[in-house]
Amino acid sequence: MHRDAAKVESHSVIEGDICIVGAGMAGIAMALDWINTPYKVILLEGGGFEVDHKMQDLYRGKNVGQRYYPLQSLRLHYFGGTSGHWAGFCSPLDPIDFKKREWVDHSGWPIRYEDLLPYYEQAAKMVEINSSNFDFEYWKKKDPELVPLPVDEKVLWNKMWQFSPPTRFGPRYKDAILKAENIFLYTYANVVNVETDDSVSTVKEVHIKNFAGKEHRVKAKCFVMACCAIQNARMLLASNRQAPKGIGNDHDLVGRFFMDHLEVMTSSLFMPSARQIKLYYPWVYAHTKVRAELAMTESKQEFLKTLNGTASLMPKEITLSKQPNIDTFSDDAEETLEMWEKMNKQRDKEYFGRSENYECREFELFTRMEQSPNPSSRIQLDNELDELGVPRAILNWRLSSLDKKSIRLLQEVIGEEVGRAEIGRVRLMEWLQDETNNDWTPILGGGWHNMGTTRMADNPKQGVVDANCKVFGLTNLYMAGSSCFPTSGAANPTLSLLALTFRLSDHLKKWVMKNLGDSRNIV
Amino acid sequence: MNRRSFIVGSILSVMGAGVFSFVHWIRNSGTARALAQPRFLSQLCDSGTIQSLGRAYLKLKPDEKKDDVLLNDLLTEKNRKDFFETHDIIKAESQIEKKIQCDFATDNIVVVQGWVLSITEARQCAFFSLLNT
Repeated sequence: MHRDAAKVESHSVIEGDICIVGAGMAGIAMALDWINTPYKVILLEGGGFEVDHKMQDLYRGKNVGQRYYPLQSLRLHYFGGTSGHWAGFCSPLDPIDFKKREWVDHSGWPIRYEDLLPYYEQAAKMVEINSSNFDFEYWKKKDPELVPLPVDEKVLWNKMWQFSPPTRFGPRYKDAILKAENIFLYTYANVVNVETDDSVSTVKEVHIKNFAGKEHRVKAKCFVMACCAIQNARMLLASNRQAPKGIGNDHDLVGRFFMDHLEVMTSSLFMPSARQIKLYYPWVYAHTKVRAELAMTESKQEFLKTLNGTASLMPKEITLSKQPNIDTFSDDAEETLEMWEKMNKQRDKEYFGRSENYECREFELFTRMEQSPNPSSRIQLDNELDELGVPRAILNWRLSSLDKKSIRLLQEVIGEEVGRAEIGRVRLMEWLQDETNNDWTPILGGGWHNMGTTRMADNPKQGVVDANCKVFGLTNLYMAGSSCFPTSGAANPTLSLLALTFRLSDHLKKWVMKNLGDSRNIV
Repeated sequence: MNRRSFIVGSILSVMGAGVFSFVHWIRNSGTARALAQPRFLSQLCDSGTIQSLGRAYLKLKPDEKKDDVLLNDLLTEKNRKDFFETHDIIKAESQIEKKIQCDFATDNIVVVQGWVLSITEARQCAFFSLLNT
């Protein structure tokens, strides 16, 4: 069921059992999971069904740290959210990502890899990939031509990736949401305030506004914020009527630990007699939908005290015509949509003939490195307000020397392994050559993966939400998505944020059954 | 000089003379110069780059800027003796290749101008640059 909040009589009160704020990937996934339940779900989306500039401008903000993408085009403010310009890369987090690592400050999740694992299957279905199995051996059986480089398995492993079509959640799931009798989607329903009781222990309602000048209140038993890592933090900080420092921010943690993956060209890999390396070919995924990247094993990471990361092989001739991501991303969201669509079409054409006949001797290693959790890397509020009266976000993306050291060591380890196997040599790019230099290259970009601003922890002194994504100190406020990630891991977050959303959804179903009983809103 | 010192001194002199004559021979031997040719790297780089890598390595390790030091490290004493007696360049090259592989396996690497090299092949580059100065 759908209603346009701009056309609803102003000062209406909308009521439901569960209110999900944000109809991006997490919000839509959760709403779909509640179809055919006896509960009334209110799904609030700030935008409409198409991207428009005025709506994107609500996301505009300053960046005062490391060079980053423009905030107004980084995330898409419409039904379907940022899936609208998602590249479709899927891989799960690794077991080490959940562990407390002595050499990585603030590492460790309050849940284990095994706790999230059962939900990857549901996540894989949502993004329409072939399987939730990411083991190399599984894929090798399907395609014997997937031959790995002869590296030592104790040092490097093949982290497998699958590629979603990519699923655009807006068009793909619109019908299902609109037809669902118990899901009430409101578009043009921008949350501008989260109102709690005086003791800041329960959320009573959220306030919504739109450019038509309409204001409404939404009441529910339970609220789930699924607005993306920047907006989740911004909304908690801006909702300061009852809690002057912002909701859930007693320990000044909301907005801190902002993370992205560090994505950048790092070195050249020369393999004079490279033949069949289809497993790593970036363009073949249009056909096999799978490829591997090289990653350090858990024991090697522990030995070298590095972060988790992967490196993909890109034929030199492709990289010659490729500009760094950070230089190509427009501040116009519509342009970014067009850019991604063009890239996806291009991807299908990037076929160089049969891989076994294709000769390429020089590759660029493109590294995707975990960012170490850093409290100084954060989202804060600006004095400037957006058009609906909410303070804009200020991003201060801050990186550390461990981040750079880890990138460098991954190249060295790959260099050692191809050297040992007598198949190649690695040459680091100039910006990585001096190990005493902690400066960053201007070609460094993020992966458009915002994470960590409402991090999950065992206790409120170390995080904003608990192991069930519930905000500490509040009985009925939950965060969904990658804002809950305490560490970023090496993998793109989409698949894992969906798995975490389904885990939260399971928890909430138990919660509402226990807490609502017969008091639910009858649909 | 006591008897013990005399013997030790004599042995060292003989060894020194051996190394000197070996180095002298190797400098003037066309085939032996092949020892200074990093086999794998030569497939990727021209001789100018190899010289440049060698010079850069010697800047990092100025103590090694001597033929004999580099040679000592390229071949073990036993292999060096074998090579001096047999002049079997193929065998010597294969011994160096094994040493390079072993370097990579044991983290005995050095980053020179961005190249992740085995210490042994970096020394080959250095030796190559010395022979060509």
